[in-house]
Amino acid sequence: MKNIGYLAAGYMVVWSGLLLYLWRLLSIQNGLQRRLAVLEEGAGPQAGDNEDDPE
Amino acid sequence: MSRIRPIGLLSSVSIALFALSIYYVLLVVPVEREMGIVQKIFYLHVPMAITGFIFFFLAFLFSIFYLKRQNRKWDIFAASSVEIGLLLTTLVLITGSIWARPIWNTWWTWDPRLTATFILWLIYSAYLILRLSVDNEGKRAVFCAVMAIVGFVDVPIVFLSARIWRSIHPVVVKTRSIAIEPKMGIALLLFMAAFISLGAILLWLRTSLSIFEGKLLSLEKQGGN
Amino acid sequence: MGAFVGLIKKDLTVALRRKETFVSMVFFAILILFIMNMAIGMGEKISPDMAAGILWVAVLFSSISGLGSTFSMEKTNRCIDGLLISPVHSATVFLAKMTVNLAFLSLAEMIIVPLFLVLYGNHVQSLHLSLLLIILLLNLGLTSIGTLISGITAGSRRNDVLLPILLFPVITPLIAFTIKATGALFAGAPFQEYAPWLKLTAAFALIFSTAGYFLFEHVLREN
Repeated sequence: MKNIGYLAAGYMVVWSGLLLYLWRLLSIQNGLQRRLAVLEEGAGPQAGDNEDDPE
Repeated sequence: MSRIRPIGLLSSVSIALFALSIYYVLLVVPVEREMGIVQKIFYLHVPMAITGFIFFFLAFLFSIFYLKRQNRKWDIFAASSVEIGLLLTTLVLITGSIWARPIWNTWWTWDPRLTATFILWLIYSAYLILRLSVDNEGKRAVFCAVMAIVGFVDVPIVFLSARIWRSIHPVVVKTRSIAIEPKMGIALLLFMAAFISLGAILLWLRTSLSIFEGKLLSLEKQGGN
Repeated sequence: MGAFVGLIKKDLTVALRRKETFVSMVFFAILILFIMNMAIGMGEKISPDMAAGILWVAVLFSSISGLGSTFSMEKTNRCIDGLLISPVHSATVFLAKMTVNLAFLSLAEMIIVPLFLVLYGNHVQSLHLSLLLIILLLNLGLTSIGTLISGITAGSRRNDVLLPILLFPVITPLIAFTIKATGALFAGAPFQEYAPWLKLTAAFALIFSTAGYFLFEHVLREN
């Protein structure tokens, strides 16, 4: 059971690294959606034809 | 909604694979005799390294496609692959360090494999810096494609240089060979499958975000007129 | 072939008129040789490998300003447009640019290397004419990939910063081979002992000349 701390640290690093990346992707998506919302508000109906489904 | 289904399926498969792998590694695979329990980092470390390398290879292929076809899609695929490959390589370097501390008694040595991986990390980090530094989209795509091709062509030379450096230099740290038991092999394969499925999911997410961003940009340009 | 020679003549003429690039290349190398000396410490003896490392680090850093100016003269007044509409094949442009860079670097080394031998001579145990071969092979490798990457960075916003960022990681194997060969030479080893390193250096130059030959077309078009 010696060095189990290192093992735990290794696993923690991997999971938190992957989660951080997912979190980054999510925040990019949020940013994009906010931009889309601004665009829809500003442009009004004429631009609202093909961006109804932004994911 | 229909296009969400395959990715949903893949995600559940991936989560199941990860759960199974972790269970298998922590509870079924025996503890390695010489190195003790830290050796279990290897089951994450090695598959991540291989998967990361696969993604760099994919970036190379996508970049060639881009230069051949000039289709923006391939640029997005290449950039996403590099990003994911780099994420995995970063984790490989960190987990390697964490393993090396108790086993080799140092966080870092200039062992050939470490050095080569580090250079790889530098090459692809530089690729991402280049992406940030060019504004024009077409220009960026071409430049990045060229760099991804050059970088990947360099990979075998990097590994070769690191290896033969060692053959002439005295070996400071010898990589201990691990007697692979069948169970250890299974654990490696399980994590391999888990990381490849995760990589595929990340690639899908990253590319669809970039495609979404491209659409948004062209909409914003329309709005600006 | 006529176009090739013409391009080289044009670039050399323009380059020779801009002496500051050359002067800054040499001066930068002198600075690095001086700073490295501080890292060694007074009266310390260093290994031949380390001496070789100091020489090539100085050359590598000084090569940046030479490579960085490959395109700067084309970009002012958009001379590059003339190059693009001319019927010259882009691969010819690549070879011409590479040759000019090679000439420039070699010229700078004619000052840097002797200067290194003066400043660090007591760390160099032995010297042999095959050092010239090592220098030539390094120059070929460095300018092949350097010309291609300088084409990329010339089209970006931050040419000066980006060039070393992109170039250095790719070039590490080449520097490793060269330092090994030069270290062996400085230590007085026979030629056969470091010939394998030279073969690898040559292979590096060949691979990246080929890559540049085919990829330069795309880079040039975007500039």
